Amino acid sequence: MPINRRTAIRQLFIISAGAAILPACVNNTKTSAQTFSNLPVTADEQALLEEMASSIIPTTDTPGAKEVGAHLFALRMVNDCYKQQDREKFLSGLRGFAGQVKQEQGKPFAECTAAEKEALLRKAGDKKNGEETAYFFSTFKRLTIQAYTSSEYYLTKVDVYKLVPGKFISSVKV
Amino acid sequence: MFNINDSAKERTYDAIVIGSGISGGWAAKELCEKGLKTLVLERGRNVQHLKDYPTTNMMPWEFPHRGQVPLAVTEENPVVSRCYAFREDAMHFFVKDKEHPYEQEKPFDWIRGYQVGGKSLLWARQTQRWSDFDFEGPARDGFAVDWPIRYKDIAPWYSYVEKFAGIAGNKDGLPNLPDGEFLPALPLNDVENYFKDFVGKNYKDRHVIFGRCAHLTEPQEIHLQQNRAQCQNRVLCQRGCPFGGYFSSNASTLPWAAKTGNMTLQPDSVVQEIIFDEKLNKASGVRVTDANTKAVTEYYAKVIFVNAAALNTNLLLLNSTSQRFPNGLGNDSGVLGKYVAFHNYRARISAACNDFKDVFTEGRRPSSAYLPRFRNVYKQETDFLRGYAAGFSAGRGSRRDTSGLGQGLKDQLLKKGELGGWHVGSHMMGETIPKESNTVSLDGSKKDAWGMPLLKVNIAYDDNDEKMVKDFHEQMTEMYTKAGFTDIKVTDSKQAPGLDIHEMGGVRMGHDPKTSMLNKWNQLHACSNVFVTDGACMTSTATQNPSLTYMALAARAVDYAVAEMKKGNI
Ligand SMILES: Cc1cc2nc3c(=O)[nH]c(=O)nc-3n(C[C@H](O)[C@H](O)[C@H](O)COP(=O)(O)OP(=O)(O)OC[C@H]3O[C@@H](n4cnc5c(N)ncnc54)[C@H](O)[C@@H]3O)c2cc1C
Ligand code: SF4
Repeated sequence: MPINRRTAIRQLFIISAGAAILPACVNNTKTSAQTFSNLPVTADEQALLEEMASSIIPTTDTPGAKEVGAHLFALRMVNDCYKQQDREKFLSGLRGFAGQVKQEQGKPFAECTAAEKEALLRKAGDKKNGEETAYFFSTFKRLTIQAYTSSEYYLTKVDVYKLVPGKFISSVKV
Repeated sequence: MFNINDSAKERTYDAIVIGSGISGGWAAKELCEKGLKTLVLERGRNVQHLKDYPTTNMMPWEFPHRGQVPLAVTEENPVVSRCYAFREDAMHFFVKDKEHPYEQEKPFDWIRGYQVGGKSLLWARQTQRWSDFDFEGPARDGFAVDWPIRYKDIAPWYSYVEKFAGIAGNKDGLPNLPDGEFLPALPLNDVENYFKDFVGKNYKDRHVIFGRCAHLTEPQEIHLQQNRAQCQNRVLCQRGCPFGGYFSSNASTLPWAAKTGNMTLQPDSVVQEIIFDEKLNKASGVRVTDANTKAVTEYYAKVIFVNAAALNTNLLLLNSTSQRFPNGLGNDSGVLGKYVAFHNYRARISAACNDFKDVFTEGRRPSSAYLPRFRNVYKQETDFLRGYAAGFSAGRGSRRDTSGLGQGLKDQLLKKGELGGWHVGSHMMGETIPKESNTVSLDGSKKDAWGMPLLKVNIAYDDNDEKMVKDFHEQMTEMYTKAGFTDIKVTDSKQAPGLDIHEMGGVRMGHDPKTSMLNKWNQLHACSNVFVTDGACMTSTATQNPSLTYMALAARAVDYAVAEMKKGNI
C-alpha cells in the first residue's frame, strides 16, 4: 500500500507536537516507519497502531504508551515471537479495524475525538464484531500494557525494579 | 626438524579431566591441589567468571523480547526450548538442538550446556544429601545391582564439598535426608511455615523443610578466598552471578584449580575417544578434535577422569574401542549404555490458600521448601517401588484491573497493585528404576560435525512411574485438602524423560565386574587409570537432586586415585 503523503505529513506533525510537550528524555519514539520481516505493516498502519496505543494508555502529565514506543514493541513481539497463522490473524484483524474506522467515522483514527476513539476500540474488542479484529485488539492491548509496564520509565519511576533487591523478608504486614 | 617425541612430551600431563562442568570442575580442583599437572579438556567455548556473563546486569527493558525466546529459535530447537530456563537471558548457555543432533528412538529431551562450566552455570542449585535409605534401595527392593558404597563412605566427602561450595540449609535431623555443613538457611514464608507445621503434626515421617541450596548466605573465609561474596538474592543466577553468590565451576572450582598453577584449561577440545594401550593394559591418553579447526591431536596422561555429563560419558566410552575392548572402554560386562535412569518430574499440584491475608513477602529468594521422600522409606508400603520428593512453595502476586482503556487503564497501571491471594504449588521428583532396556548406543553411520557418532537414546517411563504419578497426585491432594487449601488442581505434563536434566547411569558402579562398569572408587573395573565421576556412574537415582553427590564422588575418587598413583598401582 503506497504511503499516503498527507497522512505521513500529518503524522509527522502530531509526533513533533507530541515531542514538544514532552521531556526529551522519555521520548524515544522513532518517527519513521520500521520494517518487520515477518509482518508487512505499512507506515500508515504503524501510525494507526501508535495512535491506538496512545488511546489505550494516553500521554498526560506523565508518559504514556507513545513515549515508551509501545506499538513498536508490540510489532516486534508479533513479528519475532508469534506463529505465522497468528501473525496473519493479527494483520487481517488490524486491517479489519482500519476498515471499520473508515466506514464508521469517515476520517482517520487520529482525527477522531477521544470519545470516538474509545468507542471504536471497545467495539474492536468485542468478538461479536469480528473475531480477527477482536484477536488483534486483545493481543495489541496486552502487548501495549506489557511494553508500558516493562519499560525503563515504568520500572524506574513507578514500580521500581531492583536488580539487587537485598534481603528477602519472609513476612511483611500488609 | 619437527621432533614427534618432543611434541608428545609437551602433550603429556599427569592427569586429564574430560569436561569442565560440576563434576569435572571438582576433579580438576582436587587433582591440581594434590600437585598433579592437569589438562582439562572442554568441548565448548571458554566462559570466564564475570567477564563472560553478557546479560548478568541487564534490566528487564533491555531484553528486546522481555525474556521470551523468538519463534525462529524455538522452532529450530524444540527440545531445548522445553527447558524452563531456556529464556532470552540465558539461551547462550544452552546447546542448540540443530548444532548437536542426537537420535530419539523414544522421546527424550536431552538438555546440555557445552562450555567451560557446563551446566553448573544454569542449574537450580538444589543440593540434598542421599541417605542409606537411598544407597540400600537396589539391594532391598531387588533392582539394578547393589551399590558398592554406603552413606558412611560418602558422608565425609559430602562435608568436604559442602564446606567449599557453600550450602545453605537447616539442621533438620531427618534420617532420610542427612544434615550437612550448612550456612544459614533462608526463611520460609508464613504459608510455607503453616504447611510445614501442619504436615509435621498430622503425618508421622513427613516433613517440610527449607530446600538446601548452593548459595552463600553467609560467606566463610574459604569462600572469600575464592573471591566470592554473599548472595544478594537477585535470583538471576542462570545469567552467571556477578557476586559468585551461587556455586558454579566458573566461580569456584576452576579458578581455584587455576590458582595452583597446575591446571591447563583447554576449551574447544572435543574428546573423541580414550586411547587404550594394549601393551600397558591401561589408557594412555585421549584423541581430541579441535572444535574450530577440526585438527586432531592426542594428549597423554597417567590418569583420566571422565566428566562429560552422564550421556556424553557413555558416548565417549562407547566410542573408545580397541582390540581389547571392541564394545567400548571397560565394557567386559556388556552393561555400558544400559540401565540408564532419570527423575520423574511429570506431576504437579497447585492450589489457593485463603488465609494469611495480612502478610506478604518482600524481595526474592533463591530456593523454597522441600518434602523429602516419605513413600516406602522404612518398608515397602505401596504397589510401586521407591518414591518421590516434592518441592513446595507459596507466593502472593499483585493484581491490576486491566479491563479498562485510556485514563482509567492508566490510573490502574500507575497505582500500586492490589495484593492477590496466596498460591501454593508442588512438583514431583520421582525415583525411576534403572532397567536394562533403557539404553543409549551409537548410531552406526551418522556422525556430528566433529566426527563423533550420534547418540541413540532409547529411554521410557514404565508402569512404576505411572503409579507414582498417581500416588503423588493423591497424596498431595490429601495433604493440601486437609491443610485447608482450595481450588486444587493436579496436572501430568507427560513430559519426556530427560527434561528433568537428571539423567544418570549407563556406566554404573557395583561390586561385580560381570554386572557393573565401575568399582566402589568410580574406577573402571577393567581399566584402572580411568575414573568416571559424573552421573553416568549412578547405580540408582534416589529422589534427591544429584549434583552434590557427583561432587562428593569426584573428590573422593581423586583422593583414592592419587593415593594409588603414589603406591605405584596406577
Ligand atoms: C536448568 C537446570 C536446572 C538444574 N537444577 C539442578 C539442581 O537444582 N540440582 C542439581 O543437583 N542438579 C541440577 N541440574 C543438573 C546439573 O546441572 C547437572 O547434574 C550437573 O551439571 C552435572 O554435572 P556434570 O559435570 O556431570 O555435567 P555438566 O555440568 O553438564 O558438564 C559436562 C561438561 O562436559 C563437556 N563435554 C561433554 N562431552 C565432551 C567431550 N566429548 N569432550 C570434552 N568435553 C565434553 C560439556 O561441554 C560440559 O561442559 C540442573 C540442570 C539444569 C540445566
Ligand atoms: S540469587 Fe544470589 S547467586 Fe543468584 S544471581 Fe542472585 S546474588 Fe547471585
